[in-house]
Amino acid sequence: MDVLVQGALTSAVIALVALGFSLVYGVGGIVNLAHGSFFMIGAYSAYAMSETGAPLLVSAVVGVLAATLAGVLLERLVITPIRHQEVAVLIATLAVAILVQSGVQFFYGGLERQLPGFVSGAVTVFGVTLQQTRVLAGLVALVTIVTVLLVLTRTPTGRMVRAVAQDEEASRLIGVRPERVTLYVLAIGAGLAGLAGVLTAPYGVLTPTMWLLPLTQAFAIVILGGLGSIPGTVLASVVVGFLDRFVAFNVKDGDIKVGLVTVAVILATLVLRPQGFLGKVAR
Amino acid sequence: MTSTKVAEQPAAPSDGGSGRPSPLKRLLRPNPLILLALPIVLLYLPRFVDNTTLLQQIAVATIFVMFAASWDILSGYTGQVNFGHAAFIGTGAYTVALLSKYQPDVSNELALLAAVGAAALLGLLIGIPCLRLKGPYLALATLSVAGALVQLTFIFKTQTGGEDGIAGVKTVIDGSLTNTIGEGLSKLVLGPLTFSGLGGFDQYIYVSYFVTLVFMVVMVGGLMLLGYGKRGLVLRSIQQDELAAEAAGVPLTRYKLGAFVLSAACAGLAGGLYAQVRGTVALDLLAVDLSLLIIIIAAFGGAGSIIGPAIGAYVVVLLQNYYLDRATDLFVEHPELKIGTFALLLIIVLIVQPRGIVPPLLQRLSGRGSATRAAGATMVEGGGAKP
Repeated sequence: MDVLVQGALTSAVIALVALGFSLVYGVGGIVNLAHGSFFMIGAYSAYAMSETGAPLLVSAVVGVLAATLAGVLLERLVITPIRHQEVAVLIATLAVAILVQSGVQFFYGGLERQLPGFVSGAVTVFGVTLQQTRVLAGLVALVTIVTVLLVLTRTPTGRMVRAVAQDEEASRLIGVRPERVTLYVLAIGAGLAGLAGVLTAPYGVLTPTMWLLPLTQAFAIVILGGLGSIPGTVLASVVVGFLDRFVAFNVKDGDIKVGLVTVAVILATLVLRPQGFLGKVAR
Repeated sequence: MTSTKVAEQPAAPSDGGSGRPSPLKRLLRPNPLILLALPIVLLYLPRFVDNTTLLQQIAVATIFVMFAASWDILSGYTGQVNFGHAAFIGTGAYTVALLSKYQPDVSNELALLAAVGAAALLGLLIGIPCLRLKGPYLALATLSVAGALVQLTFIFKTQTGGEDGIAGVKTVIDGSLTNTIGEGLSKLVLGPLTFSGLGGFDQYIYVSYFVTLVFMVVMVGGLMLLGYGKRGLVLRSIQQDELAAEAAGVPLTRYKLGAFVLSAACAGLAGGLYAQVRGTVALDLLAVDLSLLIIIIAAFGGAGSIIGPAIGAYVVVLLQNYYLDRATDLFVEHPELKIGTFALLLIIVLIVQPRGIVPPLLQRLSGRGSATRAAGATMVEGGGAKP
């Protein structure tokens, strides 16, 4: 039961990160290795604000906005000039991730830091006692994901995004500007990752290398679910989320080995079913 | 990105109809003086520089030249960007270290051969499943293999020492071949009385310096001959358009796998040699950071040209290990800023000059535009063609 409830909460937060990653790939064909950095920027910005004595809610909003802004800057300054060179984008975004890591380490050092919880105390769900911050994180993440999915499927804006994802040239013909859509999607994806960073900051720890795990997990989810498939992403998030908690609870030193399990999942998927659960056939 | 890049191929049959120039000629054409002068300058450098700390760091940089060049023959040429090159380097280094620890009777030369073999085998094992993968998929697969090897060293902690690594590896001085090369060249360059006035540590530095130099010149020279010859052209064609290459009769599997294994074997040799130069191995030889640094070096210098990453390695590694520390205290107090600085530089280079800094520079120096396209990095330009 422990694993089930915790797994569900973790899945929701992981899905928040993976959703943005998947959208950016689906829409812009961009594999953004700096996606995990948005998660980190969100967490650290919220932390920096709360250090100055700002109310927690304000800090949280600042965290999300900072991540969004970082997304816009990344798109404008780095990705746009080299957008159609897949390998260059990979290398450049990885370089950005390292740059951010180096900057965070410079300003905050390598020590672990933590944000105070938005709520404190514990709550019992289905006989499982949980920290309230975790529950809050899971619920906020869930609501956000549902909102994003609704926007994507039910609104004209969402239709525009899906049009670009399906066929960039054709969408241009009907009056959509793919460049603009890519920018928006990257900014929103960055904001979602930043939100995930803010939400987990009270119970996770902030370190300069915290970008790596969400990035690998997002990557694993997107590969598992199929690149560019939104339902696949959500489904795979649940799988990876439960796996994450299962390993953390049942394996010795599980917390450290979570990353390894993720990697194993990726490799197995790549060998057995390269297009993922629900993905289109890999190019 | 629909235009084909065939125009950039160095295949221009403009040599008066006398057929294809020999690889050696093509190699030297960009700028014979620079390419021949580099090894000679490096060889005689210790005669004029008696700063042993600097010489030691140059030896380390020379090892990194081999890392970068071996990465380039796979990733720069075929466009299969390997994000986990440290896996091969670490395999070579740990093979040498484990042999030295458990089978001290095995000679250093044999240990190096074993390192080459082990790394080549790993290259084959990884290469086969990776044949179908491209771009981000390949990046992640290779990255995770290196990560898995790090975990393996923890699982076999008693043998590999885990985080502490293995110390007391037999060094270049203990190897008869390496010591002969090192001492011979030291006497040639520094004069016959070389080691009489030097302490053991200095001797070790000079031997390391010359041994790494010899290995590097042989490896980089070999890779360049290969890369600038017909085979290099074939490898490049795989990057530009795999389907077209296959349609033109290129045995794709053989070439891709061959490049994978060759790249792995060279990295294994360099890694093994690094273990013998340092006398220790540790996790930094398998870590993601090393793989990333190699990509930074190669993309910075100009991937797909061998010489670009080679020169890039000297610039980046010497800056990182020597000059930046002496330039400002900021880097001494905050070593993490170094890699950040390189990352920033790389981003700028990728945007402003996607071919890296060395190939365009060579082109300018030789003053011959089109002929030097052979040295032009096409990885970044060519890798982007969207279907």
